[in-house]
Amino acid sequence: MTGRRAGLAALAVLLAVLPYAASTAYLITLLNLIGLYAIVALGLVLLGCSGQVSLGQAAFYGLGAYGSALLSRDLGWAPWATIPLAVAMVAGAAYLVGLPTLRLADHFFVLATLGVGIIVNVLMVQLVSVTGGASGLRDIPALALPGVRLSADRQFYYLIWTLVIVTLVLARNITSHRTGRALRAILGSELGAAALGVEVSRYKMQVFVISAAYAALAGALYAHYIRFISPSPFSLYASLFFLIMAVVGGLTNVWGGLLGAGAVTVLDQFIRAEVPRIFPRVGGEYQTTIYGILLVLIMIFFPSGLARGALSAWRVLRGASPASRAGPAEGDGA
Amino acid sequence: MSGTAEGGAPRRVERPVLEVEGLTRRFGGVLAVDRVTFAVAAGEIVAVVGPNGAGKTTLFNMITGFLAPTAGEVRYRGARITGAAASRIASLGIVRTFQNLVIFGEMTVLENVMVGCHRWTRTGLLAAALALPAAIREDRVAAEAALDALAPVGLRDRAHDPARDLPVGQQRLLELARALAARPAVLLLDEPTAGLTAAETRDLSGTIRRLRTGGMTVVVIEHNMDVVMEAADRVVVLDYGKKIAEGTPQEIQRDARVVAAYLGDEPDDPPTAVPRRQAPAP
Repeated sequence: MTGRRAGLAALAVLLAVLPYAASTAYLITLLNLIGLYAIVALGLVLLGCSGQVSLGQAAFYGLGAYGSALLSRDLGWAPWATIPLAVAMVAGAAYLVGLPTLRLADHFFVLATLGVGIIVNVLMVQLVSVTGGASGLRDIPALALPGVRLSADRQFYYLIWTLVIVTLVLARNITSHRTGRALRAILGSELGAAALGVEVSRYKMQVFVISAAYAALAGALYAHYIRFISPSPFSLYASLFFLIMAVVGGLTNVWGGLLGAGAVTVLDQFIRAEVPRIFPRVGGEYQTTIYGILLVLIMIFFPSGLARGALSAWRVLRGASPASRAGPAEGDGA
Repeated sequence: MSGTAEGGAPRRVERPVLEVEGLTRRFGGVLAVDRVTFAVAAGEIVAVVGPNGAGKTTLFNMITGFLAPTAGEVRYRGARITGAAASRIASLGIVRTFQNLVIFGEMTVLENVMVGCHRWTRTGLLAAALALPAAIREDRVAAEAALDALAPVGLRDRAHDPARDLPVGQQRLLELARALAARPAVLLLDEPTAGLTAAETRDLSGTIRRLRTGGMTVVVIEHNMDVVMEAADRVVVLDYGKKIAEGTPQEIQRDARVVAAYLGDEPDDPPTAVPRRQAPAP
């Protein structure tokens, strides 16, 4: 308990001073994007705690973005109102999607979410009169406090990362207590959980709806932050990207969402920047290859994700006798 | 909860807590369970015995909502529960264990048992998400109840170990403790002594008998005849999906059909023993 609190406090302090240490506009923008991705990945981790995987998260991310953008731009409502409204609408949509799809066995559920993701993305492109089609939506209203317009990257940084901490704490609380035990029991064995009175389908629905709401929150913030949206950041590729973040971080550990979003985004940026410098005549597909190889290496050496891997590494470093530590550390990693 | 039962007279004349009537399950051309009818009174310990493949586990699966019956009915305290969801039946008070151990391996021993407390705890999503004082208080209550449930099976000092680290015998005891932590009105045990040592088996026999003192109703699938003789008030014998006999352990021991179906390969009189499986009851 105290360890977790200390972790949160350390994170908060680090986040508070980070913009002053990393003061280039590029780094702040990168941190903002990491924060948004972290919220989406946290939702996937919540879903992962119940043993489910979604390949349609970019759809909810995009629906949140388009929902809040359209409500605020075309109806003239304040973004402060349209963001929660869009989140609620997406949560409702996720409930309707979940009704038929959550009945499906694991891998069929993944395929169903993949399908939903593709359908939503196609609609974004094709419903030109509503979404502006492939050329997107411009002039999305900025977030404004009374008197102050939140336009600077640094102001957004504090808003986004406050929400990251809030969603992290909520997710951590949901994965502890009675609900958390029920989720982990479902992950362990749905039969066993049901035999003890755990309403398996209800819990699966709850985390599915919450994960969609998390994605929608990140998407709505994205829309008012960048102030221009088009269908491409909400494609299947983005869903894969989010899932990779959650898996790399650790699909059943809330800190994993944060670590995964950070690690994968930085890795992605680093490869894009550095590979052309080292191999000047190499095309973009090689970047993707190197990216893929690094992900495979991470999954080989940290199969439970970076969060768990870091924890066991920490235990080994702090460790008493190496012999007594080696066992549990290996067990944690496996 | 049936607070009426005290230790003592095994058979009592009151409305049965669990009734199974004409329960049938067909798998393709095979009748796994064929029109089985029996009733269990509150506070009674009923053993279900029969050769492998007699339909015992299929019967349990139908009672607990894991398998829809082809025909027939299950009643709990007089109300029809046939076809209800497994979690619903568990929350009504019928809790089971599994023949092929179902342990939440990634959780600790204590957390496993705390999942057992799910039935009678209330913390919902919102209370958990906000870590309301009620959620934290209930966590403490559940942890204490779980530790209390671990004590009688001797696992209290392993409470914080990962459940998958326990040997199979102890995992079976853990499953029992977890089911008990649910405070069921009717407990269904599917081969609870499989994989236990002789000493553990004796202990378990005693534990089952003690459960009745607490007013619990127990239905147990058991192969170990010593346990059946010692713990059960009544025995239901299945063979080829049909109920072929029912009675006290002593009556069952003397029943010729049971001897033929279940104890048929007695080494004492090989010439007269009906070879197992060759003469199914009509």
